[in-house]
Amino acid sequence: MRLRSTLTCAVLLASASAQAAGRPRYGGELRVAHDGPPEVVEPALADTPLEATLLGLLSRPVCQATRDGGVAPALARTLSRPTSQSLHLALPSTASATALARAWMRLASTEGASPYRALFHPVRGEARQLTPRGDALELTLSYPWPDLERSLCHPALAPPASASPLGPFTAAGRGALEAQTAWPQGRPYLDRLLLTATDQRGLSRLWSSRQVQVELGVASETDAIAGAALYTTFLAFSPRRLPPDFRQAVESAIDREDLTRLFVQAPAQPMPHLLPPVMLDAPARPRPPALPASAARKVTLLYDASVEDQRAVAERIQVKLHDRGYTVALEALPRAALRARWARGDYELMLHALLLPPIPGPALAVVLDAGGRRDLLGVELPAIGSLPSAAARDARARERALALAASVPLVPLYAQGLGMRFAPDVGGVMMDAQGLPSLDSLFVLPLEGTATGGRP
Amino acid sequence: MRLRTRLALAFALLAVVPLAVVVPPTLTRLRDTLSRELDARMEAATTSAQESLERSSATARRAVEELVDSAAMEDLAREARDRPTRAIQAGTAEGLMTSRGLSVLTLFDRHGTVLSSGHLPARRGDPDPVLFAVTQERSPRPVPVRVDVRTPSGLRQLPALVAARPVDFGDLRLWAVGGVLLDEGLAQHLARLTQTQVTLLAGDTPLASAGAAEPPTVTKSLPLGEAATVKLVFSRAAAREAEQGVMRAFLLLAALGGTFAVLLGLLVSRWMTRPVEALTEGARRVAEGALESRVTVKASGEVGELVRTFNHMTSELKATTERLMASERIAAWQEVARRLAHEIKNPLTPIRMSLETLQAAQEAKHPRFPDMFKESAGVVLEEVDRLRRIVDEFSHFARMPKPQVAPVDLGELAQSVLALYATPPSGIQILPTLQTNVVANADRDQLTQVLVNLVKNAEEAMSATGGTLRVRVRATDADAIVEVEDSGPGIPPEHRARLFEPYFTTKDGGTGLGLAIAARILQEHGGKLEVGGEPGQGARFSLVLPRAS
Repeated sequence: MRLRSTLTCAVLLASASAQAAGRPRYGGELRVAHDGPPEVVEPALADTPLEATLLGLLSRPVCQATRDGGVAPALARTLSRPTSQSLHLALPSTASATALARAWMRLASTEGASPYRALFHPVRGEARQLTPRGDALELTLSYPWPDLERSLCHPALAPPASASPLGPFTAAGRGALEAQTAWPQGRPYLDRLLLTATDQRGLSRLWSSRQVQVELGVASETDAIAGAALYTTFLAFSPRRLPPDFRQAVESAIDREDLTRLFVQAPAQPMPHLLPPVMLDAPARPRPPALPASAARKVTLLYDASVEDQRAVAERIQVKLHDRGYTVALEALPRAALRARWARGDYELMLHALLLPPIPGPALAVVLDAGGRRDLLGVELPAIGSLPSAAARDARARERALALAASVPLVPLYAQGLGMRFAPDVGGVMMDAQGLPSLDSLFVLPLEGTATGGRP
Repeated sequence: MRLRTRLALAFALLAVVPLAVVVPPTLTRLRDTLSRELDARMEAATTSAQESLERSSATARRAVEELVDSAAMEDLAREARDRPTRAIQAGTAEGLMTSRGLSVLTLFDRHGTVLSSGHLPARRGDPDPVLFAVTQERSPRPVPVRVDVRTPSGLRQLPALVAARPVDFGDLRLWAVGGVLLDEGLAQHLARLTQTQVTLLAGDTPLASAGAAEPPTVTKSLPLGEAATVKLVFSRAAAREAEQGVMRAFLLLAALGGTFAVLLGLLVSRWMTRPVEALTEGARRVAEGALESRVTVKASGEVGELVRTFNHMTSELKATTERLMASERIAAWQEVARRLAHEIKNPLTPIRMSLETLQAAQEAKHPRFPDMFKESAGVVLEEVDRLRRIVDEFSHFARMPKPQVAPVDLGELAQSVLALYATPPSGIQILPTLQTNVVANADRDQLTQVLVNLVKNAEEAMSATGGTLRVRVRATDADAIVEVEDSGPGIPPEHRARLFEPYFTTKDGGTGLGLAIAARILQEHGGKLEVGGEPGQGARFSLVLPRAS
């Protein structure tokens, strides 16, 4: 899967580069179908790859992580470090600076109930008090954290979509998005995107009838290309409410390979460690033996009602834990309610899905916070941030992820990427480091003998 | 118990007893009929349930066969030969299952691994030996097994009727094992069909239940292999209600009939007993002396004849009594005349003899004539005095004056009488026991006469032998009593009946009117004179008068 996806991306990128060598035409419209919600509003809750992609059309974070490890400004005009312990963000307007500061403060607060607040841990006050200075934001760090810029590129840290231009497109109603010609990073090639929300069967029907040119969120069985698998799903459990040998019961009962292959539709990889395989490619530990059957125990597993794969995985866990003496009740919750239960610690079992940043250090921070070990952030992150070399920091984070795995009440299950497919007449496909496609870079290739694809 | 009550009870018994005799066999018959009806209903319901289960089984079998023969399954098998996990996914069986009305469907590979499960998609990739064992069944009919199904509260085992059919495509063999769950839906269907409470049991564990059966209940079980049992619970409430309804009706009828019979009995007995009661009252009046009383009640038949006979009897009794009284009066006066003649004739003999003696002495010039004259004259005078006394007492007895009553203290009266006998004859001792304040309304002179007479009689009775004379004055609540008791020879029993008759006496020279007069005086005062004592031990006379308030 990974090799195929990598090769596909490489071919696409090579193709995009080749196309870029020739001058793409501006204009035209693109019909895009997806199996996500028709509307995405709250970035902190829009953390599936598909929802993050759709939200990125209307609202971008301050920057975009590039595949070479760098950072390209997105919403921000510039990101600079006046000192090693501070970050200066220049934004297009005072309104956008204010909106961004408000969004970050809400996300960092306790009421925000977001595991992504861990990305602000190195910021003094953990970004709970931010005051924009005109069109600029100044972030002061509590300890050295060279990866702050790339952390801030996480889609969940984008401001909520609003009437003011925060992304390359603006909503034009009824699923239509108009290109934002004043987008600071350059206007999109396309004039318009036409979005259609449907399900997997609708995607197949639309694709086979060639009614759409781009599909997002397609299943892995359709030979789709996939972005980096950074959307990770964990089985979180409450150590206070479950017996000490619960982790062993789960590890012995669940085969990640089978789980991923048979029950996860989106392109996915088994994830044996706290960090996804794209970051931590260590061999999986052997599965522990099954415990002797104990007295029947009833537990409730919460999962995200809006993620179809989670329902199937929850049912699989229900079946496999049943064989270990656990009667597992399933409760589907909206994502906001699920995050609220997580923030209160009000759960026995929960499927917790996170879109991790593509860098091991910040990713480990999010995972530790999601696992209820926020107390480790103040110990682990300064030690990682103190290393000057990016490779050393990444290696340190991977090492700590392996070391801390047993102490974090999370059972990693699998990592997913966004399944996509593009019609042959679509060019300019580019993926960012987060594994999300940049739809503003797409353009329509002119058909042979015609010139309806756009303006030269 | 009065006749009227007896008649009312008799009527009530007449009304209730037949009901009491009829009700038990009627209830028994009704109970038998209802029991047979319930048995028939249970049999019909059981048959319906069995047929319904067989229909479900047949439907499931046909659905599985149709699935196996369908083009969709052929396409699936063809694609699965090349790309099994892509062709058959976790949700594949669920789509095939629901579109064919099945509630259980699992697609197995030839080794028994679940490729897709409609009722438990999460079983994909695992073996399911219990369900796969159905593929070894020789019979094409569905068999009962227990399958795991998903519920929001966890996995649950439910019984199901499933059939297995192979799907072959080239060298590929799949197995489709499908059927229907025996769950709440089936229980509700059977409950509606049989109008019973239906419970599906796995062993002793209830899996599903529908319908309701009001107690008391009767249970019938339909075993479905070892997987499950269908328990049909029939209510006997309707039968019991019918029995109770009949019983209530009988009781109401008995109550109404009994009440009516009692009322009717009272009316009839009143009609029947009124002449009898009138006759009873008439007889009581006759017994009290009202010989002229007549019964005027209307009656017919034998009772009317009895009333007429009674009235005739009283008329005759009155006339007879009057004649008898007249005869008695005549006889009494004849007796008085005879006694009076006898008393008068006794002195005449000595008078005649004295006079004849004097006459003979005078004619013979008897020298002792003067002495004899004197002696005979004395005898004649004595007998004449005797005659005069007899006549005076008779006159006194015949013309006794009406008593002049006034309160008299009997103790004080007795004390004054005994004062006359302060020196009793030799050998006689008088012992008074006098209670004071014993007062009666009486004529003091007449009462004194009676008391003197009695004390004198007692002294005379003891004159020869002596003895003790006891005089007592005492009172009861109603009576004032004076007793005069001597220790003389007493009164023989044969004399007691005639003791108060005029001219009856046992004494020489007695007139025989003393006690008769005393008895009459007390009778005139509303009292009585009683005689007591044992012969040879003395006599006791008691004056009994109403006590003055």
